[in-house]
Amino acid sequence: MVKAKDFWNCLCEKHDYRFFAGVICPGLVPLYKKMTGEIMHYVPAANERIALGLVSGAYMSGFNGGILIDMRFAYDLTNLFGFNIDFRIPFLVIGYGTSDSVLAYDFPTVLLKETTFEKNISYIVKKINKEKVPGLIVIEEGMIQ
Amino acid sequence: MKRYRIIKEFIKGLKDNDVAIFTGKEMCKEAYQYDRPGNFYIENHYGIAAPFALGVAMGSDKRIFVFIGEGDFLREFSIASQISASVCENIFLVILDNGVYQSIANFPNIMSSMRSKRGVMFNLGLTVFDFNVYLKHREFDKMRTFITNLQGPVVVFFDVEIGIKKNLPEIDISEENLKQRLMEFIANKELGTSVREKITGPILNIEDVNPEVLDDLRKHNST
Repeated sequence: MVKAKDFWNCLCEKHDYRFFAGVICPGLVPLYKKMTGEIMHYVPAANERIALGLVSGAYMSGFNGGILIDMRFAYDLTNLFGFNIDFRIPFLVIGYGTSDSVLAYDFPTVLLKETTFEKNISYIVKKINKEKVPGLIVIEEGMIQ
Repeated sequence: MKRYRIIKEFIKGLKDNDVAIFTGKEMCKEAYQYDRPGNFYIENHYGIAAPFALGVAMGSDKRIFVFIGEGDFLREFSIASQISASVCENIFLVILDNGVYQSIANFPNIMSSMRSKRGVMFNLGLTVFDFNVYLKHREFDKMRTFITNLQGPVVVFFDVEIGIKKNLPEIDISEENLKQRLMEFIANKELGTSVREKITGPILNIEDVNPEVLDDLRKHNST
């Protein structure tokens, strides 16, 4: 299992991702618990589209960020992310889902693994900043504590 | 009054360091006639402009105005509560309400049937201004003075006549270039900010206001 504190430290301190928004998801509770205002800013959003808009807007102001969502619902993410794809605004999606989610989308996606989580994050961050596309970090049940 | 004219007059009231975000294909084309470096156009995506504007406002010290049709606003009505909760002083929601989906055969929407659309916004804790009084009396100079000194979070309502300006040229800036232009505009510290300027006097001198406008405001407030 990956420690939530290590996850945030890696994402915020090492890769300078500081602005997050999202809709509450029971599977991501360990991540919420370890959020700290010293290294990041999190906005609870009314829905996924608002979370996406907030993170996209913050990117325009110079802040890298991501959204935290529950991917078990059948979102049409490609449609939801259409704005970012057209304007080439990169951002991270930290999604609670299953390994099937990794295969479902065209944009860069990784399944978070305990032994390689830092490499997983580095890969996705590098990829989305280069290609200016959304990037998905899928977190399976029990992977974060 | 037609939307095209309102946008034209409103843009004149913006400061050089203000950001203006427009949404909807026709509104974007109308605003593009008065293009400025701080303008940003979202032609083909609905329900994203207001949250996007709030995100920009959260990370920036510039005033962010988002111009939105009531149909688009209805899709993401919850953004009003999000703006209220954010307590951002630099976000301004300008709702241009013509009561119909103009691009879809003028099909009516529910905004005009709402009992008190202004009251809803007010009760969410937002400052609400009805600028129709300025339109009624053609007080554009007063309106611009007011806009220049406005501090958020604010919702501005305009009742707009149905109809679009035809034969306008397409926006010839690519979406990626628009993004780049806005990022550079926001990052440009030399432009300064209008949001933290302390206003020492009243934002509008009461003696300057047309008595008829004041009467209208009083009547409107009492209802």
